[in-house]
Amino acid sequence: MIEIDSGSSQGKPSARERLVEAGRLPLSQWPARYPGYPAMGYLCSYVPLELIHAAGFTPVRVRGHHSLALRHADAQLQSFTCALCRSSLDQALGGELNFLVGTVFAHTCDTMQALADLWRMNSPPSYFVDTVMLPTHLRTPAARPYLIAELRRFRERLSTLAGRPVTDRDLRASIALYDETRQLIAALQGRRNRLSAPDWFAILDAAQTMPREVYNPLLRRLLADLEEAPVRGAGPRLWLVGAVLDEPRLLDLIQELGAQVVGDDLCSASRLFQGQVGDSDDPLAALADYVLKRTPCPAKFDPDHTPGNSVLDQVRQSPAQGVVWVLEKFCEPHAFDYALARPVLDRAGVPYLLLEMEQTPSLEALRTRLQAFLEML
Amino acid sequence: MTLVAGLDIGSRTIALVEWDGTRPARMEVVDTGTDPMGNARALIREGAYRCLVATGYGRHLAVERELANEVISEIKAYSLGAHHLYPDVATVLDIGGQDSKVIRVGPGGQVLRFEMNDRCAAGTGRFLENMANALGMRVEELGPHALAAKGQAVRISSMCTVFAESEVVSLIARGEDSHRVALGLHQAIVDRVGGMVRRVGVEERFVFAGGVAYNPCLQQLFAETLGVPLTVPENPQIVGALGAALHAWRLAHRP
Repeated sequence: MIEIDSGSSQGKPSARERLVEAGRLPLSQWPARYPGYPAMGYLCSYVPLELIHAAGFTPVRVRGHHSLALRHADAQLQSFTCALCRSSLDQALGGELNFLVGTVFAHTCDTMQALADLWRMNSPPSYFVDTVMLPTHLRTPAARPYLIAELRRFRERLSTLAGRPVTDRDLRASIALYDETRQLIAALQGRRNRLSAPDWFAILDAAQTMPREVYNPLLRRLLADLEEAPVRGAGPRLWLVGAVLDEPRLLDLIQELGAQVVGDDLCSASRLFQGQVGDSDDPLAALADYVLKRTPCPAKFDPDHTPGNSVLDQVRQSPAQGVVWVLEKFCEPHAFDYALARPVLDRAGVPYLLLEMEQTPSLEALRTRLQAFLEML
Repeated sequence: MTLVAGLDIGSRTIALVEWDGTRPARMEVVDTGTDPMGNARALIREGAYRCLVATGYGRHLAVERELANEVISEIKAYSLGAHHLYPDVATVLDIGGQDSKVIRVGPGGQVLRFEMNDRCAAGTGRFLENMANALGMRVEELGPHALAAKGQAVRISSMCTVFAESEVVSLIARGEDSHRVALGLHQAIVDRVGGMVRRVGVEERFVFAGGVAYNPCLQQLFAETLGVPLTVPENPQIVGALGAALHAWRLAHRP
């Protein structure tokens, strides 16, 4: 396998190498890597990061860890909860996330809600835990004013924690910084065929943990470097869909089997960086509008959104030959999406493969499934 | 050198098919044992093939150790092998030592869709071996033993290989008839695997392959439950190796 190393001068790591390394950095090493940045944890792609940033904190996403042998979480969570929640709780109970000033959740599925409660119960009273209560039905007349009021409440709590008001001016500056990331990643999508699948996802993972003040300039450099990088070789072209992709070994397998990931709609990757919030006189309302218009999580109801057509439209606009549905085992909302999308993909003649990801998955069985699927394309 | 070969290195057995372009020149099945690569090397005739394609769980290791030239998945191998034996095949059910698969086969032996069991060995050959052991018999005896049951099957509630074994032991200790217990074990497999078959869809011709296909009780129960006649190849364990050999022939004669 030929690795692209453009931009790398003698001894000095390239922007790509730095971003990939940062994306794979275990969170326990975060405080040593980014001293001086007070970190606020978050779990869900719906958490309004711009507000957290405007209050002076760096949002750091807590991610699942599939290869972790759980030591603590099973005492508090049933084995039929998803690996994301079990392994996140395990890291928290193991003390690896003690550097976080607090953790922010968003109201999506019941498991996430229960996890927020467990997080609070296991933390000292001074620890900051908040759940941003999103509307469930995204298209009722009340959804927007309700969400704006909820974001205002969250802003006030953050102001109290920060000991200073989070002003509209602060928020507009943070929105500009986060919009810049989204814009750069949109540009990176166009050069995606010059990056391997493991690198692509590691670079997007880095956006979720690195301070954006550090990330954005590196990403800009990467974009420039990639201008001259060669397009990667042929091989079956896949589209990845699902919630989170917390198993980098799956990407290594895809790479090993000679396939490419030409696009994705994962809430730990491309879905997180859609569109722009934009500059507005009412930044809180702009944030609410952004939340309401993004691709909805299957735990939300949007009558205008049909999961099958949404995937099909994206796949058809891409050179993808097949869809790999990456499902966290026991994730009911995403399983419902899959069930609804299946007949749509069947009718359209788009091949798809369901991979159920669980804590400590059997990689050999995954390899057989993936290889057989690639042979079909 | 006109021969090619297909090697299916499974969790319980290794199967070899040597193919001369029209028919199998040699077919063999040996135990995988604790040294799969050593046993595979002993089985093949090194240097005698224009191309050797490996499949099964040991496939990648076989390429690393330079035994094989290429690999294909077991799913593709079973599909190709079954299609060669029965050109009108539509469904293949393959139950091997540690996994079970259902394949929808299209024109030319192409895989249209498939399902595989999840990580655990419930409902596979290994499950049957453990249960035969708990009942004090060899795995070949289990099917006929179950078919000799008079009356209803004793319901087995656990499909976990370990828990089912203790369930069997306590049922026997309680004085349940071992024939009816054995029938219950087979019924449990059919219920579990049957769900997976229906996800792919039951379509004729329905080929039942893999080592477990030798079991006469499963043959009968699957046919009854799925409502279709089952075709069991004369040697169900070599279907994957045959598919791999056919693929090797294609590779060796690629223009």
